Parts: sequence; C-alpha cells; structure tokens
Amino acid sequence: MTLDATTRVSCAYYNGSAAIPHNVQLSLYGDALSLVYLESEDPKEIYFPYSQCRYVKLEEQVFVYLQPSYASYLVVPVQHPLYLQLLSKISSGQTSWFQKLYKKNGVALFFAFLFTAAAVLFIGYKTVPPLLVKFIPVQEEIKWGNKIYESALSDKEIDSAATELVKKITEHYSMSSQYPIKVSVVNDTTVNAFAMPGGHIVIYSGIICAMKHPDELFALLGHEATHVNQRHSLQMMLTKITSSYLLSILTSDFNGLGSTLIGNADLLRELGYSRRLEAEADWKGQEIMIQNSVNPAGMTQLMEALQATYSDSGTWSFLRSHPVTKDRISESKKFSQQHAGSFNSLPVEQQTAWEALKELYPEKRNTKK
Amino acid sequence: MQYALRFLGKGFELFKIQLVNLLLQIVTLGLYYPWAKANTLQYLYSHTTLQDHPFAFTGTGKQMFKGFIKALLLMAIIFALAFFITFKFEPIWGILTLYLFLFLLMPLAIHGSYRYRMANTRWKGIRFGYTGDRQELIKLFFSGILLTIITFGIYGPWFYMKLRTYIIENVRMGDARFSYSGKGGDFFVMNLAGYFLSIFTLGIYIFWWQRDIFRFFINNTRMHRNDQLVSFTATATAGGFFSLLIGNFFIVLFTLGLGIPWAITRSLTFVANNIAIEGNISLDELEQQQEEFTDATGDDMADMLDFGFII
Repeated sequence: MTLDATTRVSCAYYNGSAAIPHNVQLSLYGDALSLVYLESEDPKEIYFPYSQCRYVKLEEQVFVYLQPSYASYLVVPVQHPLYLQLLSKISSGQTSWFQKLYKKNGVALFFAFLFTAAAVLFIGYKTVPPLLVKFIPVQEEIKWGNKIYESALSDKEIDSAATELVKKITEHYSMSSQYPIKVSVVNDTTVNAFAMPGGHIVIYSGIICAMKHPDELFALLGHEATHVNQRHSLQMMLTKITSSYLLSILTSDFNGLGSTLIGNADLLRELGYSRRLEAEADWKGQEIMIQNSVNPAGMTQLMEALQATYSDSGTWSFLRSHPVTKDRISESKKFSQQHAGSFNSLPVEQQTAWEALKELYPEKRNTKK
Repeated sequence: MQYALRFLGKGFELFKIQLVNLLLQIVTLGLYYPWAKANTLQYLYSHTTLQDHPFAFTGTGKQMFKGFIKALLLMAIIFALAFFITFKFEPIWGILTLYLFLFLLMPLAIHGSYRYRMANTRWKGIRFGYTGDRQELIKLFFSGILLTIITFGIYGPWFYMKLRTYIIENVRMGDARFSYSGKGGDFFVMNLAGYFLSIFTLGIYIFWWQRDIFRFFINNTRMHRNDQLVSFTATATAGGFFSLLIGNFFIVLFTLGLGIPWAITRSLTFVANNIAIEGNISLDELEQQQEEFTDATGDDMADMLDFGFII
C-alpha cells in the first residue's frame, strides 16, 4: 500500500463506544485511510477502506463515517489540508445506481423520470392485462362469476316471468361454445344491460321497453355474449389493478397496494368498457347473429332505438358506459351490407314468447306520462 | 446548558433524491422502494444536527427489503384468507376477517417499527434504542381500543397519551432515557377547546390549536441520565404555524405536488428551530448501551398499514 498523503494537522475522531472525541492523525493511502491516536501511549495505525466510507457535508465541515454501521466517524473541517483529496477518494468509490444518478443534472433527471414513467405506464397498461388473463382458467372464471352474480344482484328484483320468456326466445340462439350463457331480466326502468365474467348477462327491463323487434334482443345478447367470450370484464379488471399498482409506485404510496385490492373488489358492478372492447363486442356480436341466421341489421336498429331513449329521461346509464356513437352505427351498417342475404324468420313459439315479453314491457311511447 | 437542534436539509436536494428514487422504483416496478426509503431517511437524519453533530440512520435498503418481502407475504396471506372466506361463506365475514387481522397487526407494527428505527439511529456514534415489551404494548393497545369503543371515543385522548407515554418512556439514547408526562385529561380539554374555537372563528383558531398540540407534545418530554435532566420547550407561535402551513399549502398547490420536498424541509426546519433544549446532561459522556436490531418487518408493515411514526 502506497502512502499518498499525510499531515500533522489532527482531526476529531469518534470511535463509537462513547461520545467523546479523540485527536487523531490522518493519512491517505491508495484505497484506505489510516488513523493514529495522538494522545495514546500506543500509536497503532487503524485502517479504513474508502469503499466502506461515506460522508455528509454540513456547512464548514464534513463528517466521514468510516464503517457501514455509521458507528465511528471523523470530523474534517474544510480548511484541513487533506479535505479535498479525502472527499475525491471516497466519492470515486461510490458506485451505486443511486449515487450515479444523483450526481446528474436535476432538469435532465426530471425529464428522464417523466419519459420513463410514461413508457412504463404505457407498456404495463398494454401488455400486463392480456398476459394475466391467460393465467385464469375458464372453469375458475365461471365459478367466480357465479359468486359475483349472486352478490351483485342481491339487491335487485329479478323478473322470473320475463327471464323465462327470454330463455324461450333464445332457445335456439347459440352464443358461446365455452361459457354457459345465462340471461336474467331485472325489473328496473334504467336502460341498462351488462355481462359478468363466466356467462351471466343481466338485462334491465328498461332496455326491453326500448326495443321494437326481436332481432334487437338478439343483437344485444350477441354484444354482451362477446364481452363474456372475449373475457372483457376480466381484462378491464386486470387493467385497473395494473394501472393503479403502477400509479401507486409513482406516488410511492404503498398503502396503494392494499387499497388497490380492496378498491377493485366491488368494481365489476360499474364496469365501463373501453371503446375498443365495445367495437369488438359489436362486430363479434353481429357474427353471432349471422351464425344463428339472424339479420345483423338488428344491431343497427338496437343502437338507433337506444339513441332515441337519450332524450327520454335521466335513466340511460347503459348509454353512459356504452355510448352509441355515429361510428358504431355506421360500422354496424357496413357489416350488415357486407353480410346481406336471407335470414330465417323467428319460429312461432319464439315469436309468441317475444310478443308476451313486449306485453310485459311495452314501448314507453305507448304509455306516455 | 443549552443544546442546539438544527435541520440543514435543502428542498432541492430532497427533490433530487426523491426523483432518483422514483426513477429507480419505476424501472424496478416498485421493488426499489426499501432502498428509496433508506436514501430519504439517511438524508433527513444526516441533515439534522444536535450540538452541530448530525444524526445517522444506519438502516439499509437490504434490511428493509427483507422486511418488505416478509410484510408483503403476511399481507398476501391475510388478503388470500379474506378472499377465500368471502367466496366460501359470506362477504361480510371476509371483510371482518380482513379488518380484524389488519387491526391485530397494528401494535406489532408499532413495536417492530420503533425497535428498528431506534436501533438504527445514531448520534455521535451512540445508538438509540427502544426497550418496550411487545406483550405489554399489545395489552395496552387492545384494552385502549376496547375502552375507546365502549365510551364512544371519549377515552381516545387518554388512550393516545397512554400509548405515547409508553413508547417515549421506552426510548433510549445510549444510557439516557426519555419520559413523557402529557395526561389524557389535559389533551382532551385542549382539543375540545381547539375544536370549538376553530369552528367559532371559522378556522382561524386552527393555528393556535396547532401551536398548543406542538407545545403539549414537546414540553411534556424530558430526557434523563442518572439524576441529570434535559427539558424540551416549544417556542413555536401561532403566527409561525400560519406561515408554515399556508406557505406549504401554496407551494404544493402551485407546483402540482412537485414542491412536496420543499414543504417537508420547511416543516422540519420549523420543528427544529422551535424546540429549545436545556439541561445538565453532558452529552459527551453518553455511553453505548443499546443493542443492534436489523429486522425491518415491523417498519415495513407500518408503511403498508399507512401510519407514520408516532413521535
């Protein structure tokens, strides 16, 4: 070990066993510093490698901690002859990521941070939920969906007569090969319908009131069944969990992890699907209609009927989560034109059931207030 | 003699530390959190000085990462159990289980957190310590909670003061110990008055109320070594609290939260500048007496349960 510098100028050393300072002589070597007690009978040299040292500069002096435990330290005033040399030797040994970044310019750091945050949020949002969805088996999803269905509808009044009629109408309408689709009609004037993971579709009576033709019902069910088949609600839920986790990192709020889990438990009831998922549900829904020989134009009719209810009253929560845009209407028209042909008319039994259903929930225009 | 307590941290430096912390946390998807916490605590401790010597936080990211993983596993088990019960039985039982367990964890988190933080705080090389007993804290905690519930919250201030007394009286600085003499009744009356006066004055009294709380906490704390004594006196005024709180409010508001580090350093400077310390303990004679303690599980748990350090 080569001696780089030494000085007779003493500095104060706190050895960690008591709070009293000792005067020591400081010498700097290649990769360690050494101390010698000045008042001791036995002037033994003690070595401390720079890699173990760190320092804090406060006003006119620097506190050099000599061990990772911070037990012992040296107080070196700015005027000390070895001050600069000592600091440069210690800081060249600091190689952690934190130290490297901390030495960079503040503005550059800020933009690096913004860029990284945006990139991670975007990539996480795009890739994590579709990957996670693959890990959840269909059977589990169905079981889980049943539980959610029970708790979600515990405060709703199910219209069993209407539910039976819908079951009759859709007897030959196959919507899913993977999931047992079960439709329930809820007695509620809100224009609303939603699908749950695993196969439950809930229709509010308000939306039946808005319909004029059975094809519109088939269109609605095709649309909702697509949400089930494509596991949209699961995807949405995982997206929300992912994004709130990523956001909790940004705010360094680790309670976020706990509240993320709690906050998402009741999320399913107010699921709003994204536009991309809605568009997918529209055209895949129309495919289901074609496979069942139902005229896909029913989708367009349904959208137009729903749009008309906008002005009716305040009860259009379905439209809030499923906004009927011009795009959606024109897309569905385009689809119908491309798939024009002859379609089966409804068998008598089903037609009767439809009429009975409309008897229960006639169009609002006929029952004007 | 008088002792000088100062905080020398700068808002911009803290801002940079937190920026680097966030950057590394994002890249590691949050796993850097324990190291980030260590970086921040090390900065804040090392820029707080007593008699011109800084405090040191000796905890490391590695220790806190281990604690973090343990605390995370524990939380995961509790959540899994709660979900299991929700789906197997009634949702209400699941939620009750969740809150029951989180509740049970609270005294454990307080105990672990104090042991870890104190054992990893040094001043002039002398270690702090927390000598509280876990069983006793659990008993004190749950009997206090029970009484608070039975009395519809009226016992709350007494409970809070008992807890504070227990914790502070078990804090050691080398071979010196602390004591706390704030009584529940005084705390209750002070807060009751503060509450109603704040309402009557449309909130203006809040700054006086803050000053009173600060005074109550600081003036009731003492440090003892053998028969020597150090007392603490709050010198903060309502005007001081006004400019601190209003200033912080606008700093955070107009910077959309980016100014939080400045609000933190302003607050710590305010606290340090407004505590006068006087007594006859010779701090140079403090002796190393407290043990090492490196299990950070309790400290990480306290973070997850989202309650800060009480002192």
